[in-house]
Amino acid sequence: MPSPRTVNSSSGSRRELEAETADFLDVGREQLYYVLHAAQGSKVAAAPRVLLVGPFASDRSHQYIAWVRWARFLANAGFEVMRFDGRGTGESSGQQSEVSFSTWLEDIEACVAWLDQRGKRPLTIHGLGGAGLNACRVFNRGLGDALLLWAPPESARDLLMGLLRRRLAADMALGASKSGGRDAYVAQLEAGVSVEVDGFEWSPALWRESKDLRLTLPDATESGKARPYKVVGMEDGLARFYAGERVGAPQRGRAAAKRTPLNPDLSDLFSKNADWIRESMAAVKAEKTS
Amino acid sequence: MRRHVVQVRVMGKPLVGTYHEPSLSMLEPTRTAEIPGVLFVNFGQTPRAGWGDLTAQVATRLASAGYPVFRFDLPGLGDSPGDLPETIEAYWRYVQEGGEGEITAALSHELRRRYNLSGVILGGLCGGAITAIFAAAEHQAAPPGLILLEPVFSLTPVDEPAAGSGGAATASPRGLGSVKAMVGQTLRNGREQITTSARKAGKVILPAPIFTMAKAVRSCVRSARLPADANVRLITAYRKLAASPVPMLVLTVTTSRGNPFDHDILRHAKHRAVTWIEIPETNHMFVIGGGRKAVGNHMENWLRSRFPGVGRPHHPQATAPAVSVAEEAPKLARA
Repeated sequence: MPSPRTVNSSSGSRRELEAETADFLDVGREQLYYVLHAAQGSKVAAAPRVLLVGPFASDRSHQYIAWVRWARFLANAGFEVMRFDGRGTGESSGQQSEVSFSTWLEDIEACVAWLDQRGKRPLTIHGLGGAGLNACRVFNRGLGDALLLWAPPESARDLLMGLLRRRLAADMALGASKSGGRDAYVAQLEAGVSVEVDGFEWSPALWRESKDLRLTLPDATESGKARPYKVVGMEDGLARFYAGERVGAPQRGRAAAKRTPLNPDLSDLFSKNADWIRESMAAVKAEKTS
Repeated sequence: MRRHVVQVRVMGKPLVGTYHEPSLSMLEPTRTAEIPGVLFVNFGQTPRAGWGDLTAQVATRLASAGYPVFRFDLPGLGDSPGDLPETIEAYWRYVQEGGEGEITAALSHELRRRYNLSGVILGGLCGGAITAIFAAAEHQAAPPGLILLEPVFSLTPVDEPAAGSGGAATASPRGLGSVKAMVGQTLRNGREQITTSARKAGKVILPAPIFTMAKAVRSCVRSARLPADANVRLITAYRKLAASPVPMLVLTVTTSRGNPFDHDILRHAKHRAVTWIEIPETNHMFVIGGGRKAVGNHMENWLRSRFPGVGRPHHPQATAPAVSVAEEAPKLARA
């Protein structure tokens, strides 16, 4: 039986599946999928927590491997980690055409509440990409003790306009000259009609809410001040995380083999960010006990 | 319908999946043991929800029609622990050479036992389709049916040899691509010669003489070779299944949008219980142009026609597709 050459084990310290609990929370009428990674090490009972928020809907299928590896890395480093899929995405139930940024904001709040029910501990909220916008919003509302953002967009509208290019590229690949281009899709959304982008159906509410949703870093808010936060950009080693191309169909023919990253070495990125979380949580703890 | 997380250990490996509990309100209680389940494995390297959450949505659709549906992450993918190679291409090659067939067959047996199902239909897109074929053909998965979306019958080039047997056939002596490409090129060459001559002579350009075209086709068919990157093992497995009584639903994009070689393989296999539907105006992942809805429609209708037993009425038929007709394939010779 053939076996691929394996690198960068995604199982970290080869923990068994029992260290990860996957289940659903009932949120509204829907089931919110989550995975809880138990902290490993000697002080698990009081282990600080990390809530992973993301990836953004249409990015999930090609960022998931690295994101799960990050969760396992943090758990091995002694953090309790919760990750989840927003309603209408991934494993969570719900109609894509009915969800929006405010839906997903509620989902983050539901997760934080669920974690608090299990006993309050220092919490880092970590947003990936477009999901960072909502991660920032909940942090500015006073939830969480530290905030980590990886490559957040300046605004939700910037995010969606960037993603709309994928729809245009798909139209071109199909030779669909009748699509009318970007302006036509924007007009459609403005008129309250859903548009399918990269396999995800954008609801009119998603588009409408994107107009006023901007990245507001904690410095600018009362509740955000004095709580640690960090923004990591591509220049900080995040480029390797995003290195995997969005490849959907196998290469054919006798062309030279491509090497599209599936499982790149992210140990440097992971270590640095885990260290920052650890230091932030220590500072928070010191602040609370002083 | 409710979803449930399922965690199983198969061949010593922990696997995580989602079970879409079917709507059984219309199902006669005495017939539950007659209902097959449906198992979708990963579409390539994507997590079990699929690209654009296609698999999750289709599973919800089929469960609402009364069928138990499972979606599982194979080792290293999605939520299942495990190791992966460094590149996507190396993983694809692993799948194309049957790497996930055995564990998928074992998983299907475990689900059948655990949920008391009459059988487990195997399904997937691209790499998932390939795995379903190998599980059924080489590992006695014994599925009551197969759902294959965009199966790919070529081997992805990798810059290092993967372990295990390869699948490449002999190289084409003319260095051309698929059989269809070879035929097409010959016809074009012949037509170009005729039109050039006619133009020079100031004559009206007529369609190439029938005998010229027939000669070109016969020449190509007699000397046809599989391309160097043909996945011979997979092609053999597919043809074996296609000639068997196992019902199969094959969904692809249209020939004009798909890969000619893959469609040639489908077209030239002897189909005994195969329903092949080409879905227009969509792409390989079925995530644009209404492909998602069409996939759901065709799957549900096929399940109801092949595996009846639930009480809900059929959904309306989708836009009339092009359905291939099973024919005896011309023999493809190998050097």
